[in-house]
Amino acid sequence: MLIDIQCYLIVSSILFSIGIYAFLTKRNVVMMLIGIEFMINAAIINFVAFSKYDSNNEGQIMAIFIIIMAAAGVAVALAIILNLYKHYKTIDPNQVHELGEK
Amino acid sequence: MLELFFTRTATIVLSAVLFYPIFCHLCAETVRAIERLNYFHNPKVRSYCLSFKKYHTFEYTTGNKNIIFMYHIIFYLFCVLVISLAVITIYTKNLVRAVFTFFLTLFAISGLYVFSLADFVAITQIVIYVGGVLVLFLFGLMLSDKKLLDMNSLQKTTIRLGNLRPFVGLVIAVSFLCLLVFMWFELDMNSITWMHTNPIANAKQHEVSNIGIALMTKFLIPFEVIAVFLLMALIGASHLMRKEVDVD
Amino acid sequence: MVKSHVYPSMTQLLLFLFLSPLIVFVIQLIFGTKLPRKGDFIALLVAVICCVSSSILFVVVWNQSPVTYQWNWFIVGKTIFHIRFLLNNLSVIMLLLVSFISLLVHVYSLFYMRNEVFYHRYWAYLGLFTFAMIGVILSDNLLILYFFWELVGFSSYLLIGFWFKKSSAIQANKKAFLVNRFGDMGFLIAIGILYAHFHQLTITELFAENTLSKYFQQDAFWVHLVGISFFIAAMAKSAQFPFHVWLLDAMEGPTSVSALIHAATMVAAGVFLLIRVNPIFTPSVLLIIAIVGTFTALFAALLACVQTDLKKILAFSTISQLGFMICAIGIGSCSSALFHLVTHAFFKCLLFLCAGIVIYYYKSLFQQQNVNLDAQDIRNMGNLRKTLPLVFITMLIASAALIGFPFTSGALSKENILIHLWYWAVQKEGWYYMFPIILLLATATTIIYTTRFIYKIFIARPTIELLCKDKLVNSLHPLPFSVKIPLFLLSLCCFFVLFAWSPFSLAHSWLLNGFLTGIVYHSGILTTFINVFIISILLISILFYRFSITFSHRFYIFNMQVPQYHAFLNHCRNHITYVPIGGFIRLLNIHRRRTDIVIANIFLMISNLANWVDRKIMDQVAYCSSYIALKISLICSNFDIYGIDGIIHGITTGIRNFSIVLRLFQRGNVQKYLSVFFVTLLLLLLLFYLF
Repeated sequence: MLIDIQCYLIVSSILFSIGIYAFLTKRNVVMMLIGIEFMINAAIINFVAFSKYDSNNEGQIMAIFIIIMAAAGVAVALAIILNLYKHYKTIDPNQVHELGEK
Repeated sequence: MLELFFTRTATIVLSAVLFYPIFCHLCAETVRAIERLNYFHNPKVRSYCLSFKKYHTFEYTTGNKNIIFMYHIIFYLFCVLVISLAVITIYTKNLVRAVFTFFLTLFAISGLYVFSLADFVAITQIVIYVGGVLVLFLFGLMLSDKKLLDMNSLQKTTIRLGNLRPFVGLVIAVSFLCLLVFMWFELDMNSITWMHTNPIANAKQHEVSNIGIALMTKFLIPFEVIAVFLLMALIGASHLMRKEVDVD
Repeated sequence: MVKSHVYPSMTQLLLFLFLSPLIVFVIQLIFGTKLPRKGDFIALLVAVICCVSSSILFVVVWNQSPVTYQWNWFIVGKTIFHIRFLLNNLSVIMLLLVSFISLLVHVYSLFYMRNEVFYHRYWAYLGLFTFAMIGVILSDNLLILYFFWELVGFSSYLLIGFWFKKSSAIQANKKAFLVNRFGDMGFLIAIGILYAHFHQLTITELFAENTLSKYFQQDAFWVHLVGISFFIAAMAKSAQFPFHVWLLDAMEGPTSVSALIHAATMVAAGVFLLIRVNPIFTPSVLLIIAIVGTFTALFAALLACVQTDLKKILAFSTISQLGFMICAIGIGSCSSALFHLVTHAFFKCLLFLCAGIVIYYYKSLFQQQNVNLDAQDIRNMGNLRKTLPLVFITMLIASAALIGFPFTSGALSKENILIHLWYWAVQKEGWYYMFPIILLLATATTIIYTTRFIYKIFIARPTIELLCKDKLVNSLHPLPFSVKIPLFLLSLCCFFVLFAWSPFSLAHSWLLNGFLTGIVYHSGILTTFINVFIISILLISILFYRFSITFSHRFYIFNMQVPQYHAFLNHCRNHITYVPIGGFIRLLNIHRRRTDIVIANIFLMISNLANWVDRKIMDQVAYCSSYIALKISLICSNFDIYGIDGIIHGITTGIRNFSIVLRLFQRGNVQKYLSVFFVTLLLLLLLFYLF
């Protein structure tokens, strides 16, 4: 192996941590969504990295599935975010803590 | 100005969408070749392969050492690129810029996929994220409200009502990172048996056709389900985004 | 102990007699105002029934063996207290006396009290008094006797204060109550001593056997103390010398009440008690009794001479006559005391009833003429014999009995006492001759003051010009039947025939023969002497009064102006009796205020002492106990607050704080949710790797 698997794993870990940080601290729902995407990508990196050692390439197939689901999630999430903005005139998650009509 | 920006962006994106698969494939072939090269550098493997005379067609020269060094350099460059772009994404104040940087990050990640001999996943990443998610992001945000794009104006008005402080988030993230890194180093790769069962087959079987066959045979039902799921998600998203129309 | 097996219906009769006045009391108090005529007919009916049933009892029991009725009352330890009634000669004669006089007073009150606002209450009080008096007479247990003794005092308190809007009446009944209370204290001490020594209070069992005297021979102190205590009780009730003050103020009550209570029955209760517990008195105590009685007899008679208030004259007369009785007891002649008690009850009651009529007449007269004069003052009276002839005659009869004029009942009883006293003094010799002499003086003084008020009211010319008119409006012209009947019956009772066949022979008196304890002396010389003495004194006093008035009239009337004449008449009126008695009475006249002050000071000292004990000891004890109780309750409350409440508060606070922690996850803050999730995941992974 030319490149050790540890490199992939560490990069994915860093990416995952960045995603966590973005999700936890950003006061913007879009940025939180991006953080989620980072975390998903970190997972995909792990899948792909391990699939290098797999003759059946099942890790890649899982990665494709994950990408599709992430895209679907993003579509729905964006729709929710826009509705949220229409409703509350803000996309700060801390200010959106009430259900139903304002 | 905005129109010019959009056209340029669209041109870049479309060209990337068109050409990046080919690029990726070429890159992946290169990587594969380098991998094979490296593979045969390994005395164990070489003796093993030579005994079967399987890869006899693949010759390599003495100047291969430089190619392998470059290979490493490029990989680490990608790694640094991914992390730095992600950090920039996080700290960008402008939302549109952040989104673009995010997509650059995704590109870099797809490079990592290429280095992992998963060129189809890299292409899928590009196509779906850039073709679907990025366009969705940008169109969704830009077409709804201009105010939404200015994070400063939004953030200034916010009251810090019980939100997490950045420092605490950083601490949690760093501690999680430390734990994960610690885990990876603690992980004994030799205990994972399937990674060593067929070390020779690695280079050959990372073909796109392999994935197609697997999707149509072993993963047929998940494939169908995920297709329906994607459809459902899109319909749901469009339903959520619909205008409120009075029935009367 | 003899039980009534012979007359089974007697128990019911006795109980009925005993309880019916109480029933009247209750009915009158509850339904008095709602009944027609305010229910006086019920009281009258009950009085008649009482009189009849006591007559039956008298006929059945008199000179027979004593009858005892007994019910268990309560049990203390091993001692059983009985409600025990005794019917012997003494109690039945008293029963008859009380019920008869009570009946007559009831009849009299129908007229006398008819215009009162609290008419029904008057009958209720009379019922209560009759009940209490019957209880005193009947009870054979000292404790029960004590209760009824108190009840008599209480009902007399109510009746004295019947006109409770008069402040003088309130003062008077308070005084009577307090003085009686002092006597009751003596009674209670006596009961306590007796119970401590004998563990029973039944009179017949205490005195029947010789245990009492045997025991007390060993311990003379206690027997003296018991005797003196009983005598103090009797003194207070019978208004003897230091305690006589209440009886004068008791005249604030209605005159009919005075007739019943303060002349005939209630004051006789003291004499009755002394007769009842007679065996307990030692010779020295008896001597004290005799001294007090004799002194009171003369003292009160002298004071009666200077009184101008008609009712107070009669009150002093009562005290004096009670002194005669006490003296008789003191010389050991209970039978003569009882005899005088009975005769005195009749004539004194009659005197009071007549005085009531006179006062009533003058009151209405003064009201008509619109003058503000005292209707009870004899100085404002005069020449009533033509206006109220019946009253004049009856009062004359009663006065004759009072002074002991021959052929009256009073003559018999008074002679009896005097003769006994003479023989007693002869036995003792020495200074004991003082007793009959003093009593003889008292008799003479009785004649003087009786002549005085009879003469002043009925014969002398009125000193006020208003009354000198020939034709005055007589509100009592046809004297009502309810007045006539009692007057007539009581006048009959004042004659000797009711008590003895012969007017001079005491040996024939059935009443004295009923009591075999007393020795009946008979002495013709003494009887003659006493009768001659009484008649001569009477003649002297009549002549004196007649002469003094006419003399003054003739001497001064022609040489005087009208104002001077009135001033002279006032002087005459005020000093008319000072001439024979002299300056001695002047000194005595101030006695009442002095005795009041002395008694008040004694009471004050006792009450100050009690107050000190109460303040310094009882209050401290109470304070300490309350302090301890406070501390205990403080501990309890602290335990309650910090222990039990603390547990509950701890639980609730714990739940509250825990729920505050839990609430953090429910704030709707997505980032916090996820941070909690990640921290938890971190900890789980750490745990997983470390262990």
